[in-house]
Amino acid sequence: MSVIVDAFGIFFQPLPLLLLSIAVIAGIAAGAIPGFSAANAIAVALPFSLVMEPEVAFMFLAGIYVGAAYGGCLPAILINAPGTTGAAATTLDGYPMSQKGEAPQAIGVSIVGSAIAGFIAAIVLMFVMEPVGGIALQFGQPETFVLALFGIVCLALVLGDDIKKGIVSGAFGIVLAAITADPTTAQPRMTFGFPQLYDQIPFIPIIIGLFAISEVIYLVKKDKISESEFDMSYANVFEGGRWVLGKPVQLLRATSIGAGIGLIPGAGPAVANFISWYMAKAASKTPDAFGKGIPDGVLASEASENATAAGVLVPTLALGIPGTGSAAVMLGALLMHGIIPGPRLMSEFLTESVAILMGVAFANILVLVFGLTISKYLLKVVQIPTNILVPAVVLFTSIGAFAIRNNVFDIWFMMLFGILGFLMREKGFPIIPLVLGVILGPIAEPAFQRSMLLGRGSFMIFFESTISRVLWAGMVVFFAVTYLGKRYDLTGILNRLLN
Amino acid sequence: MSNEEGPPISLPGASVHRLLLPMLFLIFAAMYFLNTYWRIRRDALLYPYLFLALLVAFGLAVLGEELLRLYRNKATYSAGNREFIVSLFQRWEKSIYFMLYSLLFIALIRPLGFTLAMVIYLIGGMRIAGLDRWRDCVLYAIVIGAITYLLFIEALNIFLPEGPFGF
Repeated sequence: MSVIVDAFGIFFQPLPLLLLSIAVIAGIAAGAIPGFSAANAIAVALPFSLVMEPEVAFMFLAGIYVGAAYGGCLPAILINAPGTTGAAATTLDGYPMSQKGEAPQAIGVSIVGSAIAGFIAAIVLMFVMEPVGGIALQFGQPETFVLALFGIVCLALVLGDDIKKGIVSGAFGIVLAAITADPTTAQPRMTFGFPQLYDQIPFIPIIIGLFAISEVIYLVKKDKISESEFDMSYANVFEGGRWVLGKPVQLLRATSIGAGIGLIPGAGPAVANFISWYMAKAASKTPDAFGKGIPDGVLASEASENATAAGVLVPTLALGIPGTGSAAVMLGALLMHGIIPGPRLMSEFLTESVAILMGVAFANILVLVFGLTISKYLLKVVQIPTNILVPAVVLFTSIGAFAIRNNVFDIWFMMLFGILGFLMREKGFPIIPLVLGVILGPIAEPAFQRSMLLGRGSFMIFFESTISRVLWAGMVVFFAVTYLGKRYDLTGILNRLLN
Repeated sequence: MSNEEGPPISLPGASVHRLLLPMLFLIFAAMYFLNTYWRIRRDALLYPYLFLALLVAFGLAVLGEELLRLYRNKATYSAGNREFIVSLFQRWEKSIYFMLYSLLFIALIRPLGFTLAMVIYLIGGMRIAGLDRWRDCVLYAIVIGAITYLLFIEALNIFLPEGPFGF
């Protein structure tokens, strides 16, 4: 309990509260841009967080994440284009509601549903952090290596259509992180004579490049992010909000699904919102009405998405395994501030982690406030001409890449990985396993080397503890489920069963 | 692009670009091996080589799959290469020019200084990205440039490279 009191002291300061407000507004605006994911927005915001304290920086980025989780519903409802992957299921009922002239009600449902679900999930998960931190203390070097492997393998398996491409991406990330000087012999491995690569691979330029610059290559082709014109009246927004308050069971179900799935590495809001939508449909007395424009569908999708945003932060902070691309970028921000993510983080950073979840809870209150007052104006961002937006994004990201080490080399690196990210996206290679490989590589390698020394060169050291065995078993189960799911279209089977 | 169902799809020889990315990963793996195997102590190489093996094995699997796809469509190799390349270029023309211009911007940061390079980049970048009037390009470039200068240099005290004119 003392941790929560201390965390409140960190969180409840004018600066974090102000920055959180700015972050939520920026997040809503970014989330409202279809195709510009929350991870892209966080990558662009990284340079701004450089001058902040680590916990405030993370809170700031988490605020963008929460704002974007809500903002994604706006184009999903109004123009049938989800702003974020987590809002994909929102289109199923949100857009039909919009076509029936009920867009304000749908947005009202989304605002209130997202805010309450996100708030509840963050508060509940705040109390989970301390026990998780206790478990994290049991992690030695072998467990840390297996855990890093677990995170990369899970994301490599889950993301993208082709498991092979996911594994190539993850393995490339890990080898890329190992081009620096060898930690035992201090000999450069593949630095091409660049001193900038000797100590550590510049992971922030890589992250910014893979997410933001690769997106720029797509955006520059478009004249406007959205060509559609729309109008949002406030007249019925509150009616939608009130409707949510009369549906506590649906709200709690979506919250539990979202928070629970958020805890699973790799699943994330893209999975949660569809499962929540399916579950709401399965439990409904009128399942046939789903997909034709009913508020129940919007509530199921939107509430689960914001609850996932809170859930994702628990494995990210407690174990160093980000469940989504956004969380991976936030993890990069921690590294940027010299904080090594991983199980040990919980013993040294527990109070700050709880403060971050408090920030997330508060960010959801801000979603309610800003959602009800200024969403209408933030939607204008969708209509900013890309020919103004895109050069500005390249400029800001260049400063972000440069500012970390005051080195123009890092901007070149960012552009190189922007082009690589674009090629990977074009050819169906998921980029998140690569990001995770680059982030976790420097943690996994020393853990591996020390474990091998402890185990006198035997690989059995990685199978000795219960934690390691559970993680290996988890990897096998994950592989089996993912492989079977992709081979036999389990989603389609689930869909048919529910129908 | 698969021809497992229905008649073969027209696939020009220029489609070998599909091999580019798996080839790049494999070249990277080969370079890593050549740069390390004879120089670094073997026990220190165990960790990267475990993942290098994964990269090579699965990279080859992806490459093999792509090669098989091209082989199945070999009958149409000679057809439409020029059209294919032209259409691919036209599809990404604006992006290619924009990225080349962005690379030029980075090259100009050291000799011109960040502020001057930034203003030139914004004006040209907006023009390439499709803003019609030069006047608008200059106006927006000045506004965005001023915001950037005030925010990053003045407020956040980020040191950006200075050019021969002292800014």
